[in-house]
Amino acid sequence: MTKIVHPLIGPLEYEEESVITFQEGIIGLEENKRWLLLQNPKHQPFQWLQSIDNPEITLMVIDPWIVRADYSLSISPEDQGRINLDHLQEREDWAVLCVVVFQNSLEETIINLKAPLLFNLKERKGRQVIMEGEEYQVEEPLFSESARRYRSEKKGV
Amino acid sequence: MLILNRKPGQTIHIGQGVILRVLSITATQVEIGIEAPKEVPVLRGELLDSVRKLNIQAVGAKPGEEQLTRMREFFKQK
Repeated sequence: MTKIVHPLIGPLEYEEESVITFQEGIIGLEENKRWLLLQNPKHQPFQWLQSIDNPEITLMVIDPWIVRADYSLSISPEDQGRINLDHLQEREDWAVLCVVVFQNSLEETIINLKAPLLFNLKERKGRQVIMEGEEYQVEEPLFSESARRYRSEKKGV
Repeated sequence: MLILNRKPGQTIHIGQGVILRVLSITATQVEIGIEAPKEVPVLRGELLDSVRKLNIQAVGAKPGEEQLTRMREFFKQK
């Protein structure tokens, strides 16, 4: 059991087997190879990706399908193969999360839908990929009209 | 840095299997064809830069409890 301190969650202990390794690091944060995925019920649907190598480094992340129900992931077989996603059978063995960049105004808060973080939860491996195509931008509004519309429609049912 | 002059149609070979071909040139733009093995990622430099910049920015931008509550409200079901 090892201990680190998260700025919002506070001190936390973790087991070695819960560590997720980003062999190539996360783009721009390459020196951080070992991360924890923190899910706190009080922060849902947001999650935290916490660097173990540097406890000051935390990324706020969210499942892109919560933000855009029609989010379409296009990952080449080679990219999938790099963290053995192609070997996984069960849905709970993998996850996709996108980085949120918080701004003081919610309207300006953005999500990176272009470069999702892929997780092989079974083998505890992760990788950030940049998707090709023009469908998504690196900076998309998190609280977009389409998300708002989707939420209100869902509420209406 | 190695600097080479190339004309349209000419190529540059890099290592095993990476070939750059100059397709056309205008006053302000060069069209380049790239052949690379599937395991070699090919990315536009500015795209990689913008992802890098955003990840670093994300690390320094954390909401406080109150702001987080407002953000969560938006995604609350029913």
